[in-house]
Amino acid sequence: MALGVSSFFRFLTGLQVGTSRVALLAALPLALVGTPASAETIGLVMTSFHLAGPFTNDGKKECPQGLNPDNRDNFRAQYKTPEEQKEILIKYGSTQMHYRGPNGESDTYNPEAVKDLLPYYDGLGTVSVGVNLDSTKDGQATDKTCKHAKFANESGDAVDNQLFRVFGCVKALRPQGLYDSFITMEIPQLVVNRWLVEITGVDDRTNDNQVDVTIAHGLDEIVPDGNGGFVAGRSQRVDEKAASYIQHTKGRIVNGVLITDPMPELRITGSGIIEVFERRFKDARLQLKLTPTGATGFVAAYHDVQRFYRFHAKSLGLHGVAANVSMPSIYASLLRNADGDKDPATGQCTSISGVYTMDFVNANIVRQSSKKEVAEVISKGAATARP
Amino acid sequence: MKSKFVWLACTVGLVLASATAIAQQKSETQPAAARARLITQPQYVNTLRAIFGPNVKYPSALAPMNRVGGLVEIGASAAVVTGGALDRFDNGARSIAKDVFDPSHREYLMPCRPASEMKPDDACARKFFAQVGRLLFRRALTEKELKAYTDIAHASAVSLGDFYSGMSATLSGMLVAPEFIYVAPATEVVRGHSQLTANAKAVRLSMLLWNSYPDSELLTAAENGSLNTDKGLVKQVDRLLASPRLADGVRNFFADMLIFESFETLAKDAKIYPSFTTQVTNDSKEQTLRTIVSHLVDENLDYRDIFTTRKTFLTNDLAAVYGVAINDPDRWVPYEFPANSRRGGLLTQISFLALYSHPGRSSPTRRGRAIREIFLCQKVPDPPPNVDFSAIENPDPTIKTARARLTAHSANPVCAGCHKITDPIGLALESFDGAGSYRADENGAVIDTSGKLNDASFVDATGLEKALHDNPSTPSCLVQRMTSYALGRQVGADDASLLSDVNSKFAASGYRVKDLLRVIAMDKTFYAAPLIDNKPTVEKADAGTSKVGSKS
Repeated sequence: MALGVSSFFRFLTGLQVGTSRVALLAALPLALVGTPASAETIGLVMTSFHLAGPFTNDGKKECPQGLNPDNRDNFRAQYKTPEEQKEILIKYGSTQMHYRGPNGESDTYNPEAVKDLLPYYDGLGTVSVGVNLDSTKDGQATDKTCKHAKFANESGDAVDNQLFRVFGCVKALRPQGLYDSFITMEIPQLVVNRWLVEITGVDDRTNDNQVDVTIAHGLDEIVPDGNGGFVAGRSQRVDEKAASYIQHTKGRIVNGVLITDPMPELRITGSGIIEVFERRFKDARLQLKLTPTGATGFVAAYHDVQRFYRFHAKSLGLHGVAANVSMPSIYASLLRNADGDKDPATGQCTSISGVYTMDFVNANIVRQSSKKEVAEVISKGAATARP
Repeated sequence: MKSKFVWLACTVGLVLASATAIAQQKSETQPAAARARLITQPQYVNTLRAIFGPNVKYPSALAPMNRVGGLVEIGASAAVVTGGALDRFDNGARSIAKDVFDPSHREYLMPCRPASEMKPDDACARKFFAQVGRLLFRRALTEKELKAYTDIAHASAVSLGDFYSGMSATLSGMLVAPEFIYVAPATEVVRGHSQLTANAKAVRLSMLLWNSYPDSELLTAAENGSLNTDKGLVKQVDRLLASPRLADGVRNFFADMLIFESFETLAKDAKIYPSFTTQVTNDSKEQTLRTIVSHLVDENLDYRDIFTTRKTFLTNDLAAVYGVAINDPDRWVPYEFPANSRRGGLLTQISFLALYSHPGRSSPTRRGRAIREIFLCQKVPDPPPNVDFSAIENPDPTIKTARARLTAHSANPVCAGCHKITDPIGLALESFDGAGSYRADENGAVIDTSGKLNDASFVDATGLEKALHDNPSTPSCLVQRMTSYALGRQVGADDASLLSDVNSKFAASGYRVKDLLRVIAMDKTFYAAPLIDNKPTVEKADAGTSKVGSKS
């Protein structure tokens, strides 16, 4: 990226937006605001999102003791006789076996009130994609992090992905498990999952030491193609009303892989089993291998344990039986495996590292505006590359 | 010897077709027999939509028809209603009739309300059938017909215990009646000259301009005789040309000329062209028709510019294939390709590029042939039955481009003759793959898109489109097609004078299609009586006026 470009953009964004001219310019894609004519803009829209980890097809390697029991198993372990079980179910008027606390507390919304009697197994493994979030080679505790076992990526570098420890042996979150399948299905169906990435100022798609990256929520559908994927190159509008979801960072392209600078907090909307929520990725980094039709890669970040648990409780926990999960065990595992944002007072880490793999297809990202002229300028600008 | 014959046949055939298409069709130049022609699906829908409105559900397919002389419209004269087709007409009629009389529609589609919904109401039924029957049968119903339909509705209402059910059953019968689904051009002899009756003139005019049966005002003009006067005819032609329904007529003509019924069977290999979805197929056809209507009807611009205009309409699905962004992905939006775009004109639209390609690869030959046959009215012979396609279908992997493969294929002199005609123009479109997407290279090799159309050389698709734009055969081919379409038969040697006159007037108008339609619609040939066994059959004669047939 030419040095003058970012300077020009800073100049623009630093202005008080008081005139229509400035407003117009500020609404344009970065590529149109002073970027050299040769610079390229790459637009991407997400098409898949999965928990990353060393998953095997049968799970025997990462889960040698089998997959974890669910709340039905724990309910039966807790209330051993049919009479006891029937009494509890009738008492709390539920067939979902959630009310297992000493005073009938929900195992999902009051996980600390319930202690599962059956053992819970963390996912085992040594290899994962990801980023070395805590900067340690061995996962030793630091002032801000807790001790944990590191993974190694393909290059042998130490990386963090404690979410795999928590969910690696939970059937629903494993590949093609119920939760994973719902997300796969909901990404094209629910526009709340529309995640756009725009890379501007790309002088060289293989190696570029500085590019600008914008991440935003999109408004348009993604359409299946005839080959099991999604149609590349469709126009995707940025949800400009959701301004807080339009986020910027810098990055670089190394050997065809976009590597973003850390973002203190990346926020994006999503869904899981039809429940809509906001994902917040702390200290987030994207690594996306650019392909002719899109990109594939991951987002590595920390997740606040309490927040992460709450939305999973709503989407996953309430479907405990069908999803084969037991939320008290998951909550305990999240705390046990948390590795970031150590509370100096208690020594308990409050965030957990995690990696999600993602696929994207190319998209023409456009910004709408109440001013028609802006929309037209953007459309024409995006089409300046000879089609 | 054989190969020379094939080459000669191909070349001579093309030249003859190009220069004297009329003479070549000598045996077919006589005015067509006064055959009854079957209503086409667009005519069926346009007619009924005008009567019952857009909220009634109309069938999407009726009887299949053959293409004759480059037009389905001519094939309609030879179409027959098979058992399967009759089922479609019948199912459509029942569905439409049910919709018309359902509670949400009958309130505004019925001219009256029955005294009781559970009993017959002959007066109300009669009022409806008189009004609708006139529009369906293109003439006022006879008293006998009106009584018959009213009686059927009466009996059905008694039997079904519901006035509207009785009306629905009767209407569904009208919608499959030969008087509705067939059009037989009724003629009369006036002072020794055979001509269409006024009602038949109204039908012909409406079918040309609106692709629909006449509306009430046009029928009234026919019934009161004003359509037979110059002033009355001008008034009606002007009215129809100014109507938004002109778009229906222009759309139908170009869909017919461009052989767009082929979209119904168009399929692409999803492995090779995953983005070419069903939606893209449908939208690409619609894109071209919208472009044509906007250019020729809304903007009233030079016909030849449809080969160069960069203005079009896109959906998000199409924009993805074109590789451009649109600012409103939810709907059709006007779009103008940049001045330096490789796109511009019909030949570089997905519809043409994809339709004239193979399922898994482009086809310079198909594209070249289509340009010759569709836009220049030249006939390219079919390949010989024993031709060896192996060089194309199982190509040498070291041969990277279609041009190189075709060069190898054309080494066979049996093939060379026709490929010399088609390929030099088809290869200009090789920058677009079989789905219409741009490609910078083919299998890593540079694509040579240079070529020649007659004496016009070009280096790429833009140049080809300019050459087609400037080719004098381009507008004259449209005149030939449009005249054939209007007359419902192939034009021939006997029409040379007519074609020459229309061509001159079309050129003088600046190649405006609205003016071309006006010229045809105002020409007396357009209303000349077709012959039956080469002579008019007089059914009835009185005071200098004789009538042939009885239906318009």
